[in-house]
Amino acid sequence: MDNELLSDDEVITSVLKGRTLDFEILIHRYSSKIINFITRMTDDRDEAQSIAQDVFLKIYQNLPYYKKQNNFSAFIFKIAKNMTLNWLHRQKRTVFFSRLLGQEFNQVPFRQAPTHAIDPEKSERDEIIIRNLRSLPEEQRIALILKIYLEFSYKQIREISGWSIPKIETLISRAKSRLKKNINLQDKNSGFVLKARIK
Amino acid sequence: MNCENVCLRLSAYQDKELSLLQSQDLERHLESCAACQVELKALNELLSRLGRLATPAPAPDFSSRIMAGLLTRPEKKYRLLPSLVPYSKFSTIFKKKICYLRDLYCEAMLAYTLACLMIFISGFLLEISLNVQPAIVPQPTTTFSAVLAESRDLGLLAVQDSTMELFSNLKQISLVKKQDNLLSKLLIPPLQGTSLRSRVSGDDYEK
Repeated sequence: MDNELLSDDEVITSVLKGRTLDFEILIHRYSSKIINFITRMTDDRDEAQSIAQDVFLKIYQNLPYYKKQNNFSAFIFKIAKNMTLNWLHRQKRTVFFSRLLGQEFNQVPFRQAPTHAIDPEKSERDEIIIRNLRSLPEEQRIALILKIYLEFSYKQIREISGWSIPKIETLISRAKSRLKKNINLQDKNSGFVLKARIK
Repeated sequence: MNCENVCLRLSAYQDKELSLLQSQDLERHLESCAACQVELKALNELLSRLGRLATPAPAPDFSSRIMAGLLTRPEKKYRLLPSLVPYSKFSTIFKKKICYLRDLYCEAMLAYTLACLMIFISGFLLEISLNVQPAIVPQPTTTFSAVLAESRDLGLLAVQDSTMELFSNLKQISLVKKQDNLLSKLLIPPLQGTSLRSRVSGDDYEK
């Protein structure tokens, strides 16, 4: 049987029986989603790759605890979410202590400087969106990213995050309102700047 | 449905998370309300802008690096808790707990805790052994009459203090009770307001 046709549960059973190589099927299935989620959360592509690797190792270690009647996608995104949050909190502490020691005064709080080269084609509007996504409160950002970029339903988000559906609805609604307000405002500002430059 | 309620639920409507009935109510309102239509349009525009961001792709060697990491992971050679788990026999929660215990860090913590416990118990035992009181050597009891004789030589105050020390024994106290009147009247005349009666305190005396 073609490996790609196997269900997640069948692959997991196979891995648990000792066929470790079958785990690669799961990596192929979920790596882009996981990296997408982590990149949106951290806004650092290199770190996202590194965290995603740790996530998959953690998934492998925790496979015996996975209950087959549950959604595997929720299982792995729960791990991804927790590890990303851990990383973000560690970053906060690192920046705090480095600031305390007077080493890095100019660094943007809670974010490492991106190590990858900035894409020259990335429009200013995209930059605005990324910046505003990053400025959202943690819970709102998680809910919004899971909904918009990973297209999870509210029920699936509930499984991942453990929040109630009304809470998820509120978080996403507030995140959208906030983004809408901020992005419109910044669009206007950038429009003024552009007009001034043209003049 | 008023505009305020609609605005609260527009996001869920856009995400197609409302029930059929709720969606129909909302659509009915939208048909008649221009402000809410503008709001929905703005939300749709935002969504399209958010969706325009490029999707990051995994590195080409992403899966091979993970698989290499998995296949070259060293086996744990030493375990404080040996393989005591026939997993299938236990419930999932218990299985999980046992598996946590098997984790190396937990083993280290367990060893540390045991060491602390041992130190605490040994310290406790040592303290107990140091605090054991030596066997009480029975002292020759002084009879009441002997005290009296002695007290007469030493004076009233000396008699009262020494007798009070001896009177810790109940029998001796009762002896004092019985003979108190006689003592105070005949043998020990009260001096400066102190008497044997006043020094023997407690309810027992009254009985």
